[in-house]
Amino acid sequence: MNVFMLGANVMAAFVIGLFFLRFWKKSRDRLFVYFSLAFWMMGLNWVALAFSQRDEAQTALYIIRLLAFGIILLGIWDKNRQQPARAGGQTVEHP
Amino acid sequence: MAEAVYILCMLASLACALLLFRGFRRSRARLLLWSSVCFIGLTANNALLFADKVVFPEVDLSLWRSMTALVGLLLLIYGLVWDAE
Amino acid sequence: MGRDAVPEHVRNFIAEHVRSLKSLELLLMLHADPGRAWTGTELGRELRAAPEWAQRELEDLAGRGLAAPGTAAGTFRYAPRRTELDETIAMLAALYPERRFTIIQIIFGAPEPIQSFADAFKLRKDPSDG
Repeated sequence: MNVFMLGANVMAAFVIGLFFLRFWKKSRDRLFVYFSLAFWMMGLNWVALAFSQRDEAQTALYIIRLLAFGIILLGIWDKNRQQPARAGGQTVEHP
Repeated sequence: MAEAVYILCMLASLACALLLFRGFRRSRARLLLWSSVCFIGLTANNALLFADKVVFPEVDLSLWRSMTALVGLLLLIYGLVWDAE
Repeated sequence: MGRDAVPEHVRNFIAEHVRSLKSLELLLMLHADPGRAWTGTELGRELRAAPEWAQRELEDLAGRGLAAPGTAAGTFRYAPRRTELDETIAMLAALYPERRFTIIQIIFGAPEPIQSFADAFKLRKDPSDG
């Protein structure tokens, strides 16, 4: 039963990653690349989990999970160090 | 080491959930609500993982872990399909 | 429906760089005469706007890679950092006279959900969001 759910998770994560990839193409916002990769990493994590005989903590499986969320944190950091023009501290007054 | 990773992942997904919910409050874009819910599911997934490995090692929580993630992911897919414009 | 007449990259440019109609007109004025270096006073006179506002706009544009300082102090001229920006601005300049209403809608319309998703991860509160 769990393997079935893990399979479903993998599929869902894959599709979500695809959507984020499409958003990146539309908006050219790098953040979506990070999210896309992160969800695919999560999918990979669940693939590994489904095929591993032993569970997550015993193996080094948590590294993949760490990578997934690390990518997200990296994306958030990246987003905030290159603020797009409108968001900058400038307050341009209207005449 | 593994425990620290689970906690970190839990905090990261919680942060995403909160940021997205704040974004939903500001923009009223439903996609952000679904995204927030998805990350709450992932937070629960990570929390249950921690509970499974550290707090209740004798109990097998793997089904609950998978389920919380799946519910979150499915709701996000719903949002991506219908509310992403 | 009118939005479709404005290509995606132009819409994205507007969403990212254009905060008001006057800002857009200032940018287009720069674009119309690329060799010329403007001061805030000159632009203010042309656009019927406050010179101080125009000067700040110029500095803002320079900060974003759309303008560059001229030889004289305090002057700026049209200088997009990348060619795609120039192409997008050229298209915007061509569309503006004919699609003014649509462009106004894009400037002031609600941001798309995708944009809102990305904006949600800006940690500092941005007054222009939501």
